[in-house]
Amino acid sequence: MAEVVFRRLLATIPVLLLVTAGVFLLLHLTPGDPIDAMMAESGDAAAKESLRRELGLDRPLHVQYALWMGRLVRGDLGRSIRNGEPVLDNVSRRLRPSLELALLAMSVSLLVAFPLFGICMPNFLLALLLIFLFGVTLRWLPISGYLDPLEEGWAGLRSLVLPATTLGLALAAVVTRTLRSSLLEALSEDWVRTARAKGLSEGAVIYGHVLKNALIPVVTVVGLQLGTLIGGAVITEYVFALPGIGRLVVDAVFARDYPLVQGVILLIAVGFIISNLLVDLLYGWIDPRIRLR
Amino acid sequence: MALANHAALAIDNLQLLDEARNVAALKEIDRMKTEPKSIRKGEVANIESVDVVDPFTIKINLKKPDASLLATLTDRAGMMVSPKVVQERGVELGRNAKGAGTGPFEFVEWVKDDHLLIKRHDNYWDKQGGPYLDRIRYRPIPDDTVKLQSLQGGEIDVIDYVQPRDVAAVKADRNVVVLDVPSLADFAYQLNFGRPPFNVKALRQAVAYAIDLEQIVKGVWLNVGFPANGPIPPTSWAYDKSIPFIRRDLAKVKAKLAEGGKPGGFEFTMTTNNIPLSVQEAEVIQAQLREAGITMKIKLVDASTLISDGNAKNFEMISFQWSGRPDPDGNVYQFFRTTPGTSFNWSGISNLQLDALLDRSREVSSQAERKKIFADVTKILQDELPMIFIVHPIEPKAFSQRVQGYDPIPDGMMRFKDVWLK
Repeated sequence: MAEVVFRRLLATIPVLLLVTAGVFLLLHLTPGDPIDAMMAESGDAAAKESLRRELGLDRPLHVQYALWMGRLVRGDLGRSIRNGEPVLDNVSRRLRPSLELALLAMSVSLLVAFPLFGICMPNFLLALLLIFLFGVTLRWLPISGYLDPLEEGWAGLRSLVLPATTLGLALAAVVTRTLRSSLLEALSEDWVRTARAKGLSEGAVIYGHVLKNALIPVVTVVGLQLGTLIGGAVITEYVFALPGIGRLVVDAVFARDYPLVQGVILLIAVGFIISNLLVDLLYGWIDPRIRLR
Repeated sequence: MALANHAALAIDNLQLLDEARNVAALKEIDRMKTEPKSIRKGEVANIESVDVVDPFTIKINLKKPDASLLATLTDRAGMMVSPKVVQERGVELGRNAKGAGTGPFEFVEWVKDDHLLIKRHDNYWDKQGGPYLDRIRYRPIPDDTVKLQSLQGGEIDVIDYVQPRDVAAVKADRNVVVLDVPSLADFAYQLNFGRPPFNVKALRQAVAYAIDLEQIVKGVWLNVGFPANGPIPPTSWAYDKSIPFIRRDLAKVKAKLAEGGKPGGFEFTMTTNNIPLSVQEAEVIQAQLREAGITMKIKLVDASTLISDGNAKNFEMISFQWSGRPDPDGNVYQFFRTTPGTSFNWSGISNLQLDALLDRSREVSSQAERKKIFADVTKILQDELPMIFIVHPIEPKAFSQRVQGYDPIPDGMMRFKDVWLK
C-alpha cells in the first residue's frame, strides 16, 4: 500500500514539470505586462524600466524560468508582484473559503444526485435566480460575501448556502447522469437476478449490492470534480464575492502577476493529483479485486 | 511658491508623530519623488525641493512655474501618510496601514477581496461636522448585478457605481436613492500617427465625421454621460461649452476620404476592452463607419494587453479611458505634449503650436487666461485628432434610504466625513 502511494507520487514529478513549463510559457506568451498593469495611470517610463529590472522581468525567458525552478526546488514559490507577499501566504488565506465551498457543494450534489435529479443550467444564471429569490425577495439568506463557518458558525454556513447550492446543483447533473448509466449497467448483471431470486427486497438489492458495484465511475467523476471545484469555482466566487482561489488566480492573470499565477496553478495541479490518488485508493476499498493489482 | 498648508495640516492629525508635521510633509513629497514603485512620481516631478518655514507652513520650490500643482495636491499626491509608520512597516504598509493615515477615518483591517474596515478618527483635526459614522466596511463585489441586488436587499448601504443599463430600474426603486455624479473622466480613442492609415490627417478626420456621438451616448450609454467636445469634462471650470462636439457629416467624410487618397474607403483595426459596454460601443462605431464606407475590425483585449499595446504604439485606433484629474492639466498635458519614449501620448502627436500652448497653460496662473488656452487646445485637437473623444460619463451612485448628508464631488472619490445614518 505504502509502496503504491510512493510510486504514484514519484510519477507525478514529470506531470508537475510539464505543468510548470506549460503555465510559464503560456503566461509569458500572453500579451500584456505586469509593470504596465501595476502602473497603469503613470506615464513615467524610467520608473517602469527600473521596476522591470528590479523584478528581473528584463531577463531572457529561459533565465527567468531557470531562476524560478531553482527557487521552487528549494520550496520557495516566490512573491506576488503586486502585493510583494509570498505566494504561499496569498494562497493559504484563500484556501479555506474555497475548500469549504467545494466540500459543501459536493455534499449538495451528492445529496441531490442520489435520491433525485440534477439541474443543468449555467452557474451564473442559477446564481442570479437564487439570489433574487432567497436574497432579495424572501431575504432569507445573505446575497454576497463570506464569513468563515469555522469561526462564525451558523452565520458562516448561511453565507455559503447559496454559492454551495449553485455549484452543487450544477455538479449534481453530472453525478446523476453517471450514476444512472452505471446503475443500469449493474442492474442487468446476472448476480442481480440471483439476489432477487434468493428473495431479497428491492431496497436490499439496490442499496446493498447494486449501488456499491455501480460506484466506481461515480467516484472517479466526483474525484475529478473535487479538483475542479477547488480551483475552478471562479464564476461562483465572482458572483457571490467570495475570496477564494479561483478569483485569486483570475485576478492574478489579469494583472500578469506571473509568480502568483504560476504558484497557484502548481498548487492546484498538486491538489488534482492528490484527489486522484485518493480516488484510486477508494477504488480498492469499494472493490477489493482492484487492490490486488 | 508658498503653500497654505493642506498637507501639513492633515499631518497634524498624527498623534504618534514624533517629528514636526511639516517635516513629515517634506519627507512624504520626497518619498513620492524617489520611491522606485511610486506611481505619483510624474505628478510631483516638477517639485525641486521643499523648505520648512514654520510649524504650519512649508515652501515648495518648483523647477518651472506650474499652475496645476495646487489641484494636484488636492488629489492623491496630497494624501499624506506618517513617515514614521512608513519606515517602521516597510512593504507591510500596503496591507496594514494602521496609524498611517491622516483622514477622518482610521484604518482597522484589510482582507483582500473580502473587505476593508475603517473606524471614526476621534482626534481628526477638522472639528467642524463629522466624522459621525462609527465604522465603514468597504466590500468589493465584482458582479454589478449582485452589487445592486445587495443594496436592494438591504445588505449594504452605498454602491459606488451603477451601470448605465441599470440606472433606469434603480431610479424606479423607491427603497434606493440614486445620485448622478458627473465625473472628470473622458473616454476616447487614440489614433496612431506613426503608421497608416492614421498618419494621414484627412483619414483621421473622415473617421471623426463618420461617428455619431449623440447616437452612442443615447444608445450605448443610455444618456448616463455627455458627448465630449474634447478632453475637458463639463464639470471643469475650464470647460468651454461654446465649442460644439464633432457632429456626423457624411458629405464631409466623402470629401476627407478623397483628400486622404482613399475615395473608396479604407480598412483599419480598433483595439478595445473586452467588457460589455466597450464592446457595444465598438459595434455601434463599426456600424456607423460602415455606412460611411470605412471598414473597422475590432480587436478585443484585456486591460493589461490594452495598456501594453498602447505603450508600445502597437495599434491603429485604441480605446483610452481616463479617470480624470481635478486640474484640466491632468486630462491634457501628458496626452498631447511632445514626449520622447513612453508616455500617455500614445498617438505620437507632436505639434509645435500645441506644445507651446500646453507649456503656457502651466506658466500662467490666471484661471480666465488658462481657460482660454485650454479652449484653443481643444480646437486644435478637434482638427488634428490625436484622439476621437466620445463621452464624459456620469458616475451614478446609489444609497439606501437611511444614508444622509452625502456630498458628491466629481473626482471619483467618495467622502463619508459628514455622512450619517437615519
